[in-house]
Amino acid sequence: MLAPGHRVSDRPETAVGRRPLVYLRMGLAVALVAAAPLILHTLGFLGLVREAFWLTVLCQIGIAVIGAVGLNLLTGASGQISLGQGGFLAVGAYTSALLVTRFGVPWPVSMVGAILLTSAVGTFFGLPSLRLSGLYLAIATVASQAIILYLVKNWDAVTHGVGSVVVPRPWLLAIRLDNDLAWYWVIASAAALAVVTATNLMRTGIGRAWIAVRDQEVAAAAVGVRVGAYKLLAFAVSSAYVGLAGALTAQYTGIVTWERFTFDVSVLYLAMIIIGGLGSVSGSVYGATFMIALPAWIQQLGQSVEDTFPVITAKLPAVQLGVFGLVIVVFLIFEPRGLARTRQRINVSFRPWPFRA
Amino acid sequence: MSTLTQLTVLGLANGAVLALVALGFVVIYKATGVVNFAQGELLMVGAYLVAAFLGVPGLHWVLALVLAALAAATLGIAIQVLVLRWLVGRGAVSVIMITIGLAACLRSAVQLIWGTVGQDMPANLPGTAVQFRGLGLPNAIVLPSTQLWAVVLAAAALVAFAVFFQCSRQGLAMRVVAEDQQVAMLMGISVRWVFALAWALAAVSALVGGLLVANISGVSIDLADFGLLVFPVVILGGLESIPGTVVGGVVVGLLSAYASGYLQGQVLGLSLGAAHDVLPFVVLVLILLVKPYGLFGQAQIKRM
Amino acid sequence: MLSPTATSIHSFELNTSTLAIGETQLRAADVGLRFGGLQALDGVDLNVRQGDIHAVIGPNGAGKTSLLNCISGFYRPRAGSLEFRNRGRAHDLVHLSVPNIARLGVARSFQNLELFKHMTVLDNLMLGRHSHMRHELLSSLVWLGPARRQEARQRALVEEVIDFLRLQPARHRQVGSLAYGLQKRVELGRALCMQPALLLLDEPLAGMNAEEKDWMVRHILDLNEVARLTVLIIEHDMSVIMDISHRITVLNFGRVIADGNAAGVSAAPAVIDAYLGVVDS
Repeated sequence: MLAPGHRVSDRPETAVGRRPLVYLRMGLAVALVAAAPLILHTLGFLGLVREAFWLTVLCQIGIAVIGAVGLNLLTGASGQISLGQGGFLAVGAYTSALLVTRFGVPWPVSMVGAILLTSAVGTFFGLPSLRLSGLYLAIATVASQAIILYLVKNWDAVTHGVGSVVVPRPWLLAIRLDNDLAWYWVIASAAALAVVTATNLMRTGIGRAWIAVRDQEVAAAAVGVRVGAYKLLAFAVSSAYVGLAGALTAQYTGIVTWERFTFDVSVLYLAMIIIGGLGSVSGSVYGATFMIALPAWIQQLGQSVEDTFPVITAKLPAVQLGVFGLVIVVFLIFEPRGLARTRQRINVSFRPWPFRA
Repeated sequence: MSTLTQLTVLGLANGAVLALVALGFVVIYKATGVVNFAQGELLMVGAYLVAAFLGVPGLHWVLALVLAALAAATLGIAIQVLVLRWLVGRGAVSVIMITIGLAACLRSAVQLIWGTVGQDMPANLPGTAVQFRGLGLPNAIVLPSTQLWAVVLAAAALVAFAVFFQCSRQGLAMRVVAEDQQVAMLMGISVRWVFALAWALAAVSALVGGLLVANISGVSIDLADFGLLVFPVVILGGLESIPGTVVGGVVVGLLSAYASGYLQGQVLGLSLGAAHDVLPFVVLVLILLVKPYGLFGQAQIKRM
Repeated sequence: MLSPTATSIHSFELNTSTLAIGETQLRAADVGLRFGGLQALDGVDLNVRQGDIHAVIGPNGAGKTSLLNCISGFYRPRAGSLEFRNRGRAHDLVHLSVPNIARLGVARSFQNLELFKHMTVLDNLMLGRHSHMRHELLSSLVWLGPARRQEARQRALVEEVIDFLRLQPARHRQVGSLAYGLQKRVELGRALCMQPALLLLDEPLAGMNAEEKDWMVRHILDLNEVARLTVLIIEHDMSVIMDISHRITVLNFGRVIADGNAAGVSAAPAVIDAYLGVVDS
């Protein structure tokens, strides 16, 4: 038996751990996330940005990161196309909200409940993946999205139908979570947890098995991977992350309505992981950041020219939609492996500097 | 009784339109392998184009329709030539996503050009409501001419497509490309031309569908939502045949219509009023669980 | 310079068969397989003994790969039985799923190379260890602790297979970018990482030049002679087959037309007919 951390042999290339440079980059990322509110405050103080607005955006990005990481494990790593993200977010959000408001459950427990229930529902709607793939699976997930949304909008007894569920502001220890700054730390911690656990999963046999199922089901079975079980596991684990994202949405925004969980939301998350990079956890982070920050930035631009061009504000949603579509089309034509690949390219081009010939 | 007839005609009208739109979807899928998530948006754009041309003073409505169809065909060809040709050989997820992106662009363009408020479709096809008396029924059945036209025109369009695919050289070329692209190229068929033609046909069939639906319920952004209903139709009818698509469309249309008429009240607190929207999807899931390649689809074989 | 041999794989048992040399390990009796109108296999009998290199030869389309696919579990034969003996029991392969048959110790390579092209060589080989690892969600989420230790342990075993097959320089390269000969070696390596009781090789020498073939044959012989691994091999290179096989089964049009040792088979008139004199001893 080898002791933990012991080199497999004396050859450095056989080490299981990571190169020091990777740890450095991870440290920088953590520092950036921790310092973000301060950076924002400084920029706001200098009059360059609207601090409150962007702090809200950061919170939204954090939640989106969790959802995108989950979806990427399912669609990117395991190859199971899912257009049902909106529906699963709804399950997470409504579960957490209703557990708190109807049953008086403490909100952290409601989050756990949301994670578990969404995971179960996700696994159920993942059953078609045992027999379907590609186009047919995508269609089945579209159906699951439509069915869940119908239940949300029409099951008045449970979900208040097309009304909304109002969630009271929760308490964390002695602090009332009623402002964006407090929520930023909660959400950032949850997002960090999601990113770390997902990265870990991809480093182990489970992540490998998922990629094997995606790339060559036949060969995966031939090495002993129980393909069906791993597909369902992908749905279960992915939905757990999505359930957490949904629950956080409910607690953070305080209001749960059906409009937040439509097919458009499923499309948005799919765009996040494609633009970020399919199968890459860091890609999910880039994609989520990009797809939330871009419309927010457009909105800011629109508001700043509101006085000179009032017509723009009315057309703003259409402009955001158009930019969204254009970004997807352009990325898929020119950088199909997403921002994660772009970052790799930048790394590679920097590596020989200053020793380039 | 009269309700049944009215619902049946409504169902047939919707079903005929669905079949038409699904036909465009199937044509693209068979010829190019692309899953077109923008079919609903093409329907919407088609309706807006028709409304725009009909709004030109002094333009006869038939001419307006023809011009609108030409515009739609151009749009379809542009999509293939400018966007999709770069995605040959990419994975299913990428192709699905790019049509979704195109769908967003189309919806955005429509909102920017024509605004978000819906409008009525200007007068085009002749006739008002048609009344049926007698037939041993206590009251006269009133059927809107728009629905009757929908059934008649959609049926005519479907027959025209069927004839085109079976009898014309271009139709034959398309079927060859759908079967085996490499063989088609070896036979001198321009695959790129066939791809463009497939998209043009899909856009035009969507336009006709859009015209018929907008006659019934007005011109608005919501027309694009029809697009999602393509999937139950296609799963029911299979991706392989025109008759299958017709059957699928009619079944989904009738199912939806009857559900809207007869499904009411509540079950365990779940109100069924809107069930007619979701019922096709429930049926879709049930079919897929039993027959993974659709009711009439063919299983795919892999050689190891 | 001494090249590493199968004896250099000492961290784990390369051959997990529990049978003694010469005992019947795999018995196919009257196996029949149909595809629509085509009878791919008809009344096929096969007896593979522990420790043998058993070749299955025949013209193209004779049903050789179909037979292997039946053994692996990808096809279910319409008739007959397939029995695999290991761990003190006889297992009925006809009613087992592909992963379960793999976990019994049946490892294989494929005619058309079924590698995970987007993964590195290392990851492909580590997947060979899949059935020998414990995959627990909780410890995987945490990584530090049992999951990390297990990865390190399994890496040690995989490294020895890498050494045996000389795959060191390609360790972190994407399999899809490797030369064909290297890819073939990776597929063999992945099968070895499974610690097989029975190794099925489907045309392992196809597409290789003489030097590569020589190298591969030496390693297959090594596995058989040192680790006493049973190898069921489909190959077209007659000189190699005649040279290394203990037993040969000849198929033609889905039927067995000869079965025995090299000398007996090459003299059988049915075989000479089928090959039109291609057999060379």
